[in-house]
Amino acid sequence: MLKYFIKRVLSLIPMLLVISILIFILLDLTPGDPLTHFMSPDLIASMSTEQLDDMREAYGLNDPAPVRYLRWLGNILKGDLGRSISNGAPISQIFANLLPSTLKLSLAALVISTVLGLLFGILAAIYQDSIIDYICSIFGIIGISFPEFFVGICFIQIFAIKLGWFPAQGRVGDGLSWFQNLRYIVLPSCALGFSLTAALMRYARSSMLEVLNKDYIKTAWSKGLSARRVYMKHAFRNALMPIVLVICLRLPMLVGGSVVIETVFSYSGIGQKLVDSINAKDYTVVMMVTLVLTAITLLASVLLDLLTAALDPRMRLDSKRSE
Amino acid sequence: MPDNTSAGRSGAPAQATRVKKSSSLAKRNFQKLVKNKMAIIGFILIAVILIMCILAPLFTKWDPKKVTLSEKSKAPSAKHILGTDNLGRDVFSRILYGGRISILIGLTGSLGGVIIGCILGCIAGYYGGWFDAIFLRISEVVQAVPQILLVLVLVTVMKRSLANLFIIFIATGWVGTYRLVRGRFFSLREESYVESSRAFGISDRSIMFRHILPNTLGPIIVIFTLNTAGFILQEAALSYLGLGVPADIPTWGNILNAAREVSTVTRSPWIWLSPGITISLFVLGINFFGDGLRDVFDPNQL
Amino acid sequence: MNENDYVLSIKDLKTHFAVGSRTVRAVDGVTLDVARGKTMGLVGESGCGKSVTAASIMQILPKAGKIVEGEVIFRSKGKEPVDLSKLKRTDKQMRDIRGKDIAMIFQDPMSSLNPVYRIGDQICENILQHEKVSKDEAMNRTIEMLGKLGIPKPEDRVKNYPHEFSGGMRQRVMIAMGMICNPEVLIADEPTTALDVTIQAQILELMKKIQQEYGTTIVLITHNMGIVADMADNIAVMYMGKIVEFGTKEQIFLTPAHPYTKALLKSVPVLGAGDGKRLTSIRGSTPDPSEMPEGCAFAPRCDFCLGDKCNEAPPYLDIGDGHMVRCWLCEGGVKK
Repeated sequence: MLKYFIKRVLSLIPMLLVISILIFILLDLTPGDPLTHFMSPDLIASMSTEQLDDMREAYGLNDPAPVRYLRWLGNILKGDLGRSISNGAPISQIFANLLPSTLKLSLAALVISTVLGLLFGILAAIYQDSIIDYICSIFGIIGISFPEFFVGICFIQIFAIKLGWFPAQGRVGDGLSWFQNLRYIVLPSCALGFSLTAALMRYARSSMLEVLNKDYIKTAWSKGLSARRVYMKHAFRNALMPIVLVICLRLPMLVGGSVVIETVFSYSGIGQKLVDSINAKDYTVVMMVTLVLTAITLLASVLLDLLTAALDPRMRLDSKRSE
Repeated sequence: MPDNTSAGRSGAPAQATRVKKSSSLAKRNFQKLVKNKMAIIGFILIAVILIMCILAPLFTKWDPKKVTLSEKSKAPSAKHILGTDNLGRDVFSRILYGGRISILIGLTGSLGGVIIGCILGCIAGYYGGWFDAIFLRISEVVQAVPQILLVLVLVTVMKRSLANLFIIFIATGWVGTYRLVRGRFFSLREESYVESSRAFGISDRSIMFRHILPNTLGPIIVIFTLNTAGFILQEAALSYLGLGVPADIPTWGNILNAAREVSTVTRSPWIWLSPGITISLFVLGINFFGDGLRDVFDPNQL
Repeated sequence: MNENDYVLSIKDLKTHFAVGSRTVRAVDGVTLDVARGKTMGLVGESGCGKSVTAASIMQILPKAGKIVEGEVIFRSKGKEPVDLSKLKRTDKQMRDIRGKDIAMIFQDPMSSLNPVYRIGDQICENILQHEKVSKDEAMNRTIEMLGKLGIPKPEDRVKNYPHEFSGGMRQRVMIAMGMICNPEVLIADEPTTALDVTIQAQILELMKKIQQEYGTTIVLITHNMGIVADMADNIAVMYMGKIVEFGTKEQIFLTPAHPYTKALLKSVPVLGAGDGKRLTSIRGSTPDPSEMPEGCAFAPRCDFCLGDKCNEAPPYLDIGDGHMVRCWLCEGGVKK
């Protein structure tokens, strides 16, 4: 198990390197004075042309690209993510402020989707062709057809404005109590998780149906076990594995969706910052957000991969084989 | 052993029977599809919306781009069936004309991605080697990055235009088809009928296109359908954010862009409800139809 | 033979499947009495309904299947006889019987064992479901049974997963799981079909040993006449959902009466039968089970068909000493 874990984590490194190289190239291609990547606009405005040339030398901006890339990479690994072009603020600080909120949002959406999706998908499989199954199929296909931001807007209109149950905008603040924080997250995470719930519902249903047709379920029945045991202990555990794989594959969409949802709800997270930065042509922020979010997505998928390995004893490398 | 000439001659009747057999399989598949009620509903939804969009001038007399500030944000009435947006443009006509662009983007992006993925997958799957190794890595990288981030990054770097959007979508959308075709090739090329074909001197290209590819066509069509839906949704999201198609070209997402202000959401619901519902219905139709297609081509696949 | 000598009495069992708009009559009037402590062989081609009969007895039919008629009387030692067909799959009484009094082992041990749980736990599960014993005691009994069935170092192997065993070992695990509660009846559905020939012989020997030691009644379902010749005391031949012939091993092999039985026996290749002799196969193919004729189902393929007479359903007749045949040829109780 440990060997597998290390192998997976190590396989990430080349991928991240390639992505970082691509991001660096794109960053280099963007228009504008590269000095703005390192110094705040006020500072630049206050200097003379000779002083700016000196600064360019000092920052090594005249060095060949590979050298600059390695320096850039080295900085990132040290924790210096560069500066925002628009106001010179260190990007690492921007992340420290905004990333936790986004992570909370994504995590909440993931949890809601997984719980609801699994629950209803499995019920739909067990009670096939019943009304639960019918409702699940309908919701399943509707859920993946509605654009996420449209769902978000509808939620705002119904739950925030008409019913007033939840606030329409804002974010998890520092001065608010835990319960108040919860209120801010409910609508956006439900909107974000809407299509994932639907997809998981469909997938859980078919995975469970496939498992229920297997021979070892027949064996379980023939042992006289109760229905609950057969479904929960024997069937569910086997149905879970491909589902975890699907969650893994859809993680990038979850991260991507948070960009849109944060905009809809004016939720101050890294996603909204990304959109603002694109409009403000703040290239450093845009590239760095992409890099970091991709890295997080990859890490999360490795974790889920490990979960799959933990669930499936056939994947474990340390058990003894017969003969 | 038949020599080349008789192989050529006997090829004709053999092909005739093969064509007949494949058309009966196609006919059976078609019948199966038609029996699927959901798929038919989906097809009708797609067809109705598509026809209305293509024949837009027949359904509305308003110019979707004409700004009439005196008429702004008017509720639906007999004059404007779905009301006007915040610049006085008729919403219904914007939806019809915008549909043309949105659907076009979805279809072309998907088609382009599928074609490229297919070609690359064929080559990689059949020849393997360094070609496959490189493109597999590339596809892994493209898949690892959340698609919307990829698109956003490219949008930042490139100018905002319709053509660029096509390019971006194709560049991000070929991966699925590539992996599918490649996978199929890998599993099928070891089959004995391929080896015996090769032994008979049939060219590699012929084997690729005549034998393996037709088997893969089914899932490819399914991917094409679903990708179209995905790209329409993506374009809508991008345009909603104000980062997709330039604002003067109407698309479904562009109309929704107005809903970024909370005041529009509450006071003029027709502005965002109509395009939102239209997109949802169209994508719903695609999903129904795509599900039906999937049932036909491979009931076991997900 | 009185009633109590039969541990299972199936009378006119009909199990139908709803497939789309059609009804498949998988079991269409099966009458069978299984003698206690003996081995009953249930033979027939694939699709004739043997497995469905077993599933009907155990009430583990898939959702589309339903027992529409008939009774399955189970006479457990020291208990009231009970009609299993009237119980539901999830009834407590049925669940108590399943696994404990009547157990079943299946054809493919790789797919019949849950791949994510250790085999020791899967076997113990059977004990713990039916008897109030501690986990440790259950595990001890499991280890003991595995050892008896020829698995080396059972105390270590209980911790292994199914994929860590070879085919023959896996089937022994399945047998252990079936026998662990000492059932009165063990139904074995094609237990050796998925195994190599040499392993087949070992497993069959094992089953004979079990029967000797525990006195278990074995119902052996197979399409292999050779196995049946070795193992069975009584044989029932099934075709398209009905029993067409029933008798002792000697009666069936030495004096087969039904044309189908005769054809089956002729189609088994015999070593040294003479070079160049063609294998006889039964002409035609099994009909679509959803479109079965009203009369004798075998008539279209029968070499002795009596023409129009066989369009009527033939009666199930005793032609002497309990040898039963379903054929017009044996009308009048005399073998023709």
